[in-house]
Amino acid sequence: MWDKIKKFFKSESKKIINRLNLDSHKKINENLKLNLNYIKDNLAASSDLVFREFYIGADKNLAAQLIFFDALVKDELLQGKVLKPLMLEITGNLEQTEIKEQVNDTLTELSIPISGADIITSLEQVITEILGGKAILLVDQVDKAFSLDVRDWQGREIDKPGIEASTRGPQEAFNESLQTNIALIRKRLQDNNLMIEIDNIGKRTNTELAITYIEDLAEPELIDRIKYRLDNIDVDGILEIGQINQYLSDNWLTIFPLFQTTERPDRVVGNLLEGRVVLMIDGSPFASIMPTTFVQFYQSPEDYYDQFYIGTALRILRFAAAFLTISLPAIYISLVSFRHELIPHELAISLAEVREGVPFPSYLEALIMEISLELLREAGIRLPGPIGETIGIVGGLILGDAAVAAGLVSPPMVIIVALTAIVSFLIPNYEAAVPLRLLRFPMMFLAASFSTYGIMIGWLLILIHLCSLESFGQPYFAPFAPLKWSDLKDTIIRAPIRLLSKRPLSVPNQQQDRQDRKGEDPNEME
Amino acid sequence: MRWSEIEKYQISNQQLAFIIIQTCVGMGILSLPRVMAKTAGQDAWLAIILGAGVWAVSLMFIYLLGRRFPQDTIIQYSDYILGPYLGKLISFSYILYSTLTTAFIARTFVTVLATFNLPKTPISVTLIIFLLTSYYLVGHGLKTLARIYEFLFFVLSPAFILLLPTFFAVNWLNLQPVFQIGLTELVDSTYETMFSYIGPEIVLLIFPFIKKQDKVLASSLLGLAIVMLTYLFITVIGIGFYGLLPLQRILWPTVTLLKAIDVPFFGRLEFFFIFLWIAVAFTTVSSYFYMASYSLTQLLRFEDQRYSGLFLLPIIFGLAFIPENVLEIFNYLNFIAEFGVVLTLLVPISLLIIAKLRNIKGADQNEA
Repeated sequence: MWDKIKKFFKSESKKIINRLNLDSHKKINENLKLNLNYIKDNLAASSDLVFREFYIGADKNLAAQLIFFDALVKDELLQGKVLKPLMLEITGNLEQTEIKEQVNDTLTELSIPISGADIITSLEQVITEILGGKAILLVDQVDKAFSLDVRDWQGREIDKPGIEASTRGPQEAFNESLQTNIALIRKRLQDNNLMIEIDNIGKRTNTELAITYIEDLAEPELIDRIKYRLDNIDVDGILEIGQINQYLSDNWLTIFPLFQTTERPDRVVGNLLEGRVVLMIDGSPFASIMPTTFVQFYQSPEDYYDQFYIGTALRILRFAAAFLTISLPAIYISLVSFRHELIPHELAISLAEVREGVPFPSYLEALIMEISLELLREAGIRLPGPIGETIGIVGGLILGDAAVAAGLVSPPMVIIVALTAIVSFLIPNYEAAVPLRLLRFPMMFLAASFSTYGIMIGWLLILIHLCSLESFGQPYFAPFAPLKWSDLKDTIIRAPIRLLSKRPLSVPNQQQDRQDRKGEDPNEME
Repeated sequence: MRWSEIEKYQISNQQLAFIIIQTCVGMGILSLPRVMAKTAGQDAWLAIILGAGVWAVSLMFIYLLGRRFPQDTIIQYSDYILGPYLGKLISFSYILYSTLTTAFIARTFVTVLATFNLPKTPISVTLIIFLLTSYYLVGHGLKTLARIYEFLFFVLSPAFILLLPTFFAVNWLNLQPVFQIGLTELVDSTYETMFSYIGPEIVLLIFPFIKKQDKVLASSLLGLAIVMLTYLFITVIGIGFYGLLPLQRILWPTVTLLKAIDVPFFGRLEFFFIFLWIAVAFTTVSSYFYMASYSLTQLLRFEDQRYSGLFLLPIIFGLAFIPENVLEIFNYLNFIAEFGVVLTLLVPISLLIIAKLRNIKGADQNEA
């Protein structure tokens, strides 16, 4: 049944290879005019498209065209490094008969002092290269085009991590330029096996996509599967790595994130070293790591940089926080409205006292408060910096206090709601915290209807779902289930660094060992 | 670990042990001390060990059958051995047995839940939620089932630590003198333990999906041993703490034991136990539900157990309302246990003998 529903949704999955809908085999003609006509026919006549006509050589006897989008190229480069040498520095009469060899020789070998220069032969490629920001040089009577990389794309500086802040560790984050991001990785991982494969995705946006992995660590089967699924993406535009994640996902209806996106280069390198594969696209400051396990979202890079006691304590706190984010309001509801006997006497009496004037049943009270909390939080994100903070104070302190004073909600409820809010910020990944926040609403509903039984049923459903999930065929809830004993030392606890001598079993990889100096005495010198 | 090693099998041997534990331990733990006190007296521990021994023998035959037909389940090889008609009869009785077990265990569960947790909620509502959750698990198949059982074992086993304080309050004189039991009583009480031990027959169905088939016997015996230790633990505590006569009058002695523990500030430990026990009961019911729907899938050659599970869901729901009160539930459970003993002790032995006589063998594992 499910398969049929899935098929119904998946109906149109025809693959369109020819993105630009052009005749892909049309070769560049020797006649410059024909080539120009073809390009003008197939490129929308935008005002920013420049056709610069000029003659090669001081004697002005060979016509040439330079085609580019003026917004995308660096003018000084074109003027100084392309036009000037071609127009002024080539001298002598270019004989009609020998023209091909001469031009070929001069152009390919010497005359253009630019590092990124390619020779292309098909007209379709000419158009893609122009769209990609390169300048195209066409020369009369030559059946080749020269693609010159004079791109100058404006971007942001390297900044601090915005949503993955950490106390220890590098404070650099990715930005929107793929080249910068690759540089940040290469700088940290100077390995001869580091592979970066660049491909394009999105029929109209033609976004650059980098598949990054360490060739002798990552499992080839995994890379093949990733490429297969990438090939099957058939969409006109990709703007953010999160869209690719949704297309690649094993289970596209799940609430949990099946990929980890990060803006921290150190986290990316750490994951590459575990045999994982990282996808990055141009235009997004986030990299996507795959395959992913559930525990990864509770690990933060600084766990590894500090002594293991600190890492372990923080991990335990985070898992407790995840549990409380989902179930704290639900537990409160079930205790207050069903299981008074579970609350110790003294506490029960004082709870009853403060709840006396409250008109709502506890589940309604909780629902109102939790929804207003989500509203406040969302408002805080949208509002510009200082106002956002004000909203936090106004919403949190003043509204909460006024609601209690007006007898609308009880003080314990405010404590519970505030705790849930604080606790949900302990999870180091934004995308992992949001599903937990959402899940607490069905949980509250279950608790209000069936008390502790409802909570248990809710947790069973969540756990069953987690156990059923897979990320590229790898169990998502590993190493808890299926249980992998040796991987447990980097989950809820973070074992001393000398004991983490194997790469995790939950990720397929080609080399098991990552260090072999286990437990040696650091004082002993050889 | 390389990719090829990961994808070859569905469940590991370690997971098999957890499946057996989670399937066996369910309803039995709440009432076993009372039943044992009635039938075996202070020698209950002996009956429990003997009961496990009988199951160990049964598991051996199940294992031998499985080795003979490494790619097939009981539904398939009963056809090969006995021919299509008699084989279908065997398959059908397995489906009937696991459907009935699912229904009656689920019914026991909601009855206990109504006693301790939700006295005002209609049992039909709690039952349908329970069965739907179980169906959600069954629909995901064996891999997910094995994974969640493995995980829950480690979440749930701390529940038994709650019982530890009573262990130190055990009056060991209540368990003496030993070996007072007569032979017929011993046989009777061993037979009584059968109900608490039913569950390992799941191996008949999941054998083809296990990673190391030659070690199936070892891992399933390990599971059985842990079940046995659990039962020994609660029975010895129950008898030792209460004494034989009072114990016989307590309906759910394991829960009542927890009432005896006084923890300062946090008053009612038994609720915590019942809370965790919901998951214990859930795993047992889900195992039988899985057995029923998967065998039906194989019998009718459906492509997925989701269809057969959906088909069985209303049937199980209806069957669960046949017993009218707690005493009738116990009668029905005893009937099931007897049915189960025949199916898991006698049928595998006879199938194995007939297969040997007729010299029928299944396809080799590597030939697939």
